[in-house]
Amino acid sequence: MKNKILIIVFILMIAPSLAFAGTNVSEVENNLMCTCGCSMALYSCECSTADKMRAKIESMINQGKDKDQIIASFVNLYGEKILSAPTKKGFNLTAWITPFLVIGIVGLILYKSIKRWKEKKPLPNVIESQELHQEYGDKLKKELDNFNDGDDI
Amino acid sequence: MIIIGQISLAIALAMTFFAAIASIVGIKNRFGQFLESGRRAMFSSFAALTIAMILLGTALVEKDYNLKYVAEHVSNSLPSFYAFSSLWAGQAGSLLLWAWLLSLFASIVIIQNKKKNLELLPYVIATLSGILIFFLILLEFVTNPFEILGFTITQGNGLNPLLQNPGMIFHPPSLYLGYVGFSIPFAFAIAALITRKLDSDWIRSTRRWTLFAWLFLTIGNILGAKWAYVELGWGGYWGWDPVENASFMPWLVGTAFLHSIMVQEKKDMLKIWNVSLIVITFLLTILGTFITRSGVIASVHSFGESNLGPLFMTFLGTLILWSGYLIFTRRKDLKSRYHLDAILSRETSFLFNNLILIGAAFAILWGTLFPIISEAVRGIKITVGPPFFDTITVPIGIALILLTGICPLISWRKASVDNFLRNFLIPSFVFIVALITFIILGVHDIYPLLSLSLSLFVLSTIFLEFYRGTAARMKYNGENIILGLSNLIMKYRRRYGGYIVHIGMILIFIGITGSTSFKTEKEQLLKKGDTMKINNYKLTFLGTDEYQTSTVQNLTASLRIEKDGKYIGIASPSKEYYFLQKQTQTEVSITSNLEEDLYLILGGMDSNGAVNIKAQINPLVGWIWWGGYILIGGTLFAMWPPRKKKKRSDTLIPQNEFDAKVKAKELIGNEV
Repeated sequence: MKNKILIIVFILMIAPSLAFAGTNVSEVENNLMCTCGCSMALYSCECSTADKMRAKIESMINQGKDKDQIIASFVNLYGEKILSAPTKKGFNLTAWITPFLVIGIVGLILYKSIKRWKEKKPLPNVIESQELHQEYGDKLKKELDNFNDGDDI
Repeated sequence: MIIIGQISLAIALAMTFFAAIASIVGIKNRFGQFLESGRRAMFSSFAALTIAMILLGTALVEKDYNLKYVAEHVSNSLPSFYAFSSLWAGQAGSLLLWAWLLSLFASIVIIQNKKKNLELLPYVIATLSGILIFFLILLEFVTNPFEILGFTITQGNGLNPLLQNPGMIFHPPSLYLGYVGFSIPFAFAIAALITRKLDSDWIRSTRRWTLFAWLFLTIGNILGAKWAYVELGWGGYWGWDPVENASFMPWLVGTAFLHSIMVQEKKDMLKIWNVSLIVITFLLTILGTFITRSGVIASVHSFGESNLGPLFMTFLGTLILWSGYLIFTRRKDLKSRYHLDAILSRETSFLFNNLILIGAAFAILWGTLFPIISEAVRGIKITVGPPFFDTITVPIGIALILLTGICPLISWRKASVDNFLRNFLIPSFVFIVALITFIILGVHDIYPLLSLSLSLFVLSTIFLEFYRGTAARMKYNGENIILGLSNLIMKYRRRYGGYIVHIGMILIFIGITGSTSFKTEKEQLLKKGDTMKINNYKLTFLGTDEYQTSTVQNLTASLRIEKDGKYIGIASPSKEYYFLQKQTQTEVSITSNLEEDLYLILGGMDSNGAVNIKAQINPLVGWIWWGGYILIGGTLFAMWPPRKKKKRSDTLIPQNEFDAKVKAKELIGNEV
């Protein structure tokens, strides 16, 4: 029983510091833009506005607010524009999905097209297998090395 | 001086108009004299723009405040070399630099093609003239660098302190060399489309121009990254700012073009694709300029709100319509007679490499333009910043590393299983060993784990290429290892130059992975004599030093650095306040080695004399710069002209032998 009480007291003692360790200024400032008009992310701006914003974040952390609460309070104040990246919901989701969707679709079309091109009539004199020509290849290579043609073909 | 400058611009505009018209009339009616006049008109335009450049440069260095441009960009205390670099710090000056470079390149192209590409050249001149006319109209009527101030001042606004860095002298011109350089292959592509001469001649004629443009775009981007790292004081080098994106997109598409033209040169395939790629590359350079100068997208680099936006949009729209029309109407001529032989072949691997590069460019373009799209759809302006681009581009980058390793090792036409196993067995083994080793070393995040392991995979494939080529020469020609290696790379300059470029790229990828995934940061308030520890470094605050000049107030902190208990040196991060610009600037201290950078930022000083120090350990940043140097070296090596052969009867290869040679090279694939 005594041990259990000690454990609970210990947990209560370290809880605030754990909460503090859970949110730090860097973690929050990665998600915000500087409001001075420089168009830079907060973490990369060194202006006085950025310093004030960092101080505000620090004071909110000291008040016990977590990352999401701090970000939400900035969004309430400045609007969605203060976020350094679009949210992953609603129309903004298209920002995140579209690039991969386009690459995927184009990749698929490309693969299908390559298969179709391949199925077309092959060229005359196509070299079907490298192994069959290995011997000739080695001979030719030796001869070709004697040609001083300067560059890759 | 001002009047001469204004007249020079007017002459350049008139001459360029004449060059365009004379070239078109000359080729249409087969008037040789008109064609010659067109060529000379372009030389005259270059001469007039050179005079304008000299005059503006002189006015900046001499601080002639009668010119509005000079008054806006220099101050009495600004050193001459920074005063001269103000030429490209503002809207009008940078547009003049663009126009001058374009006229210079056009003149060089005319000289280079005096006896070749005679049918293409008039259209090349007309296309380049068309682009130049647009820039000259802007310079003449919208943002004239020779505009008179109208009142007398004794002190100018001065140059933004952030731009007072040696890197800034070279970074913008490098980018302009790249941007303008891509005009040349674009003009040749347009000329080829107009004349329907759509074989590989236009590509061969402009290969070095493309490499030149790509090289300078690369240098410009690397210098920009280095400048941001040294000067901006946040410990990063790439902020995904719209203007950074604007220079990165043409680089990506230009890279795709450089790869896919190999397929056209060797296989006479992908004609429509290559024409489209160079058109897109050039259009992206214009789009980048539009983003920088229109003020439509907020950017740290932008020249501010201006009335250039609609003009650039009109120009861009015209280029898209004209190029699109030409490609569409020539689509039958652009059809290849040949088809792919196998799914597993160098050709298809290049196509997928193109897909990834174009996909990356599209993702960045999408992110850059999304704030406008969001505003149009939802009426809400949002920001698309680094977290978005990091998330989107990292998986694409990893796919690109993988393809960098795979593409060069697959044979042309058709790769056999034997070929595949022979080339990939050892690199795959290296990849698995690297993967296990990194996991044991504590790298558990999937992206850095894959990035680093795949980088070693690629490096091993390149090493094997060098090894096999050298070993073949040693075996067949009896050369020793040094002679074998040097003969190999000298003889196949283009291929091995390309491999060196790949090595540089991989080192850059390793540097990016290390510096973003394993970064350590600590911030601490230090009183005199206090110490702070970060990783195996110990920093002792020794005190501050302050001084003031007529333009700047400086506060420098001194810190003694020890690493593993061993004295390394004294770091002096500082903070400066520029009176004229009312701007604070951070001068960081960087203690660098190949393993990591100790990056120290002075945050400020409180009333008790304690300083706020932000310390970062940025692993492997140096690899980015060294990778850049290797990449530049590899590109120069690949584009260096081969030695001219002596005309000897015994070196003339009969057609049948040549055909056999081509076939044999295909046959032996990567063994040479």
